[in-house]
Amino acid sequence: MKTAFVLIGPALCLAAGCTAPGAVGGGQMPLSAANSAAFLDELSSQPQVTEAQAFRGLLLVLDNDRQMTFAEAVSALKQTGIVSQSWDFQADRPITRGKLAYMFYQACHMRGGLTLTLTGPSQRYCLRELQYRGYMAPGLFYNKVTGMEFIAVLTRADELRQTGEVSPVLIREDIAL
Amino acid sequence: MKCRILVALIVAALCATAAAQTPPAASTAPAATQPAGTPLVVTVKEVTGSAQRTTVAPNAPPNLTPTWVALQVGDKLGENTLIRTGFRTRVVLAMADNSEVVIDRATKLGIGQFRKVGQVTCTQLGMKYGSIRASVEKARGPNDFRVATPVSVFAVTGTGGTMAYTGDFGFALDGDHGSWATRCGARHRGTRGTEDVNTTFVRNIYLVQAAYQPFLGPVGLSRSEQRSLFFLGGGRGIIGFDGAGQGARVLLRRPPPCSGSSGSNGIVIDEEGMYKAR
Repeated sequence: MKTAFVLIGPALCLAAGCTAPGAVGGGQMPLSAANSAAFLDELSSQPQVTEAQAFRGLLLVLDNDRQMTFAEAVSALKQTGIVSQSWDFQADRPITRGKLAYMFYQACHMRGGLTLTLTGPSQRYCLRELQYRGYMAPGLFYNKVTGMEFIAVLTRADELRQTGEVSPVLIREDIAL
Repeated sequence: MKCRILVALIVAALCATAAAQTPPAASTAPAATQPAGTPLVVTVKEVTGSAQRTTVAPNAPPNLTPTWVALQVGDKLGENTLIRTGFRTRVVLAMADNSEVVIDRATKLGIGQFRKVGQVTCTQLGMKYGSIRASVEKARGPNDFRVATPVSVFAVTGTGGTMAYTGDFGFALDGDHGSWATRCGARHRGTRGTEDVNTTFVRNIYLVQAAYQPFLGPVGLSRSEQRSLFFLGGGRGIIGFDGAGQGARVLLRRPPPCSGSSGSNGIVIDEEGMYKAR
């Protein structure tokens, strides 16, 4: 009986699309070589942003425009703590708002409230923190991100990293969560 | 018999669909009319970071892939020019009428029209995403300066301010001085001074407070002084109701004398409800 559970568990997990923490799918996919202006323009017409595109965008915000593969990008972001060690990665899978919020929070060295201080960053609470500050629109952490929304969030991250604040015209503080 | 009628109906429906999907012949398309007036030139004054430009003819096919080139200081730009910027980028454009437009990071902007029609300098910019800061000069004559975003149009005269459009929050305008008119479909709102407005079009208490700033003459208060007064200024006031604020009770400061207030003269509203300089 125990053996059956041991076999059925991973099988169900695989069927649901789960992979082991840290696994990288599509690691050899090269990231876009376009400069940031062209990259953003290309993204602005896309209904979804893949993890490969999101990581490329984050690296551009971090001033790293070196040509690299998806696996190298994951490694670079892991080393700087911008992505979680417990995530699994798939190059062509759409990025979620929770993952984007987590990466924004880490890339901008933000400090959150009590929950984030006590438990450390998580997708859910990083998103809530960013929504509270008006950096991200209302929505759930597992929602996908459109190209235009991704550009808006990265623009705020870039400005926050450069100047320590975000221009009032780029944020909304009056949104009820 | 029923079957024949059914087949005839299906054939007719398919024909109608095909006819609806057929693109109009190129020869029947109306030719693009050249607007009146003299085209003016925009000069690139400053470029920091990654910025590119391209020129697209108005009658270019929609599937044409434009060739982008790096934007350089001193470039002369005309109508139908597109500019896109990346991260850590700032571009300053000097307009021929002494106005200045600063394009911030991660912005895509098009110069739809920039020409002199009679005495009026007509400027129409289109912004797909990002933010720009505009300072519009009216000493050299009247201006019709407009910035269009996917959801709204900002019209400005003798004015400065920052405007943005983002894919999640929509548009936002943060005025510096002078008067702005924001239009979104049938809705429009005029703002002046340091007032701001966003997608909600709500005239909230902050906006009302910002409308009552003391006028100290042509130089006036600096932006930091205005902000400081706005957040920290006290003094006597009156309790009233803001007509546009859904009846909410607000604290209104005593209004300043109107004479000479920036944006109170030289403005007319045209037939579309937009503000224009005289």
